[in-house]
Amino acid sequence: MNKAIQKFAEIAPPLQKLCQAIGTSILSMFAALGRLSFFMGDALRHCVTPPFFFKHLLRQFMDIGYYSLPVVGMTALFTGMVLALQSYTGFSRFNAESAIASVVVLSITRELAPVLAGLMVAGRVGASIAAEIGTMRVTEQIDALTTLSVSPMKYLVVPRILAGTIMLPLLVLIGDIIGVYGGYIVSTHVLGFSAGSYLSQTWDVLEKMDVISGLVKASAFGFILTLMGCYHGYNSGRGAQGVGAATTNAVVTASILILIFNFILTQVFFS
Amino acid sequence: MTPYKIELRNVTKSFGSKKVLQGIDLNIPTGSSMVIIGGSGTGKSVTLKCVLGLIEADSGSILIDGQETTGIPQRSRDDLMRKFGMLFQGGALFDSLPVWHNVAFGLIHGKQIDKKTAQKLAIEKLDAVGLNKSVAYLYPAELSGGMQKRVSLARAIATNPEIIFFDEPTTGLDPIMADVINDLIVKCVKELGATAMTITHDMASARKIADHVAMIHQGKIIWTGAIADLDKSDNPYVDQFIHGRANGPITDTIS
Repeated sequence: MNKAIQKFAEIAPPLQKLCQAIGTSILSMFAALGRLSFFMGDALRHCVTPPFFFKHLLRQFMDIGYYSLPVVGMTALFTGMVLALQSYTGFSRFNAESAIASVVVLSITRELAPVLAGLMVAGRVGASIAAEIGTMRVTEQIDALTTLSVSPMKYLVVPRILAGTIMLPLLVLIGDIIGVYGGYIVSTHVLGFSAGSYLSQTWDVLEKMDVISGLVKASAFGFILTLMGCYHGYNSGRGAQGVGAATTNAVVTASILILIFNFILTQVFFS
Repeated sequence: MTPYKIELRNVTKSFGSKKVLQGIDLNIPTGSSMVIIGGSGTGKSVTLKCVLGLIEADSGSILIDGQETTGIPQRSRDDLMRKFGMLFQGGALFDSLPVWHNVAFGLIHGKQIDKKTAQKLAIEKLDAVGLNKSVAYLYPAELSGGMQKRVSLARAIATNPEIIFFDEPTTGLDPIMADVINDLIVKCVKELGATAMTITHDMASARKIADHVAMIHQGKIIWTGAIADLDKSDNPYVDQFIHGRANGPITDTIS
């Protein structure tokens, strides 16, 4: 009995330390989640109360939407092309080549266009938002906005979040078309399908809900990635290192949240 | 009507376990220029940011024109901010906007003046700080440090504020440019009839700008008085600081 107590006394301190470490990290995780929720609530409240900075919103439409078009377009094109190639290798074993068109169009509209566009734009836009706002935080430009009676939330955060939420579905819609076109090129030029039957198969299998669900997802991803960029930039640490960490965190958390919410939204739409 | 523009009563602020402000009491008379001196990390900047509401004080009260400002709603805070102008240490100019827009920013967004008029006013203010019209269309990154400070000063005074804060206005400038900025600050504050609060550790600057001086040490105001009395304060901390001695009570408490 005594021996058992002695043994426990030996392992107790490191065990306690371990429990403390787990507890601390869980508490800090909840604290971060709370801070993020407050930030999101604040941002949403500012979205609907004047004054509005329309000019800034238009500039963000250009920055987040228009200038992301090449990235999203290239991603969609090559994804559509590779999808056609890969499904051909698989389906030709079962003489099911005719399913390629439907595989391409469904995968692109439902999953690949929104998710890949979300991830690419998170890398392009989320990082630049975090770096820009983080630098403004570090150089006291955000404090300067406050002293000039302009809410930094309205001036910096709201236009970016709105632009992300509105522009991502448009990008994905264009991505859908380009992606399907990529599959069409490979199928007709490399795999020797007839253009007419490929297109009619594509059209037959596609339903409104496939596209709409993809666009709703895209909107959610646009919100997530701009929110993450703004949040991490806004709460950036000091100096170059702080801004660097903010940028990394913005891209990593946005990417992971996009994948998680993709699962949740798919569950909601197709079950 | 109180004779004081800004009153701080027992203001405290901690970051984690670090107590930065341990009960600041300070009165700034209307229309006077108060300079707060003190070493790095003694709480000068935090005091200033508490008054501006950029940092929320843990306890105590901050009165502006006799009105409590701690814990007021955001909308009242925005209105209150229109009374303030602030010159930041690093300038904090918006690098995405040209110089004139930086100066006119508070006029356009805070006071809803139309862009054309605001631009004209901005160019007048730039002229007041000794910058000619050609600078107005450059971007902040194209200016030297001294010119950036002048633009920041122009921005701080653009809305004709009642209260102007200067956060280390001469840091990072050569002695001549520092004196030019000091002269400009004195001139601008006089012309506006504003109440000024400056934090600095540059004694030459303090002597030039100040009507009153307060010395902050370890989160408390340890001495305050008119600038003329600074040299006969009989306070060993103040004496060490204004003469810049390496040995004395300040360095003793640190080690």
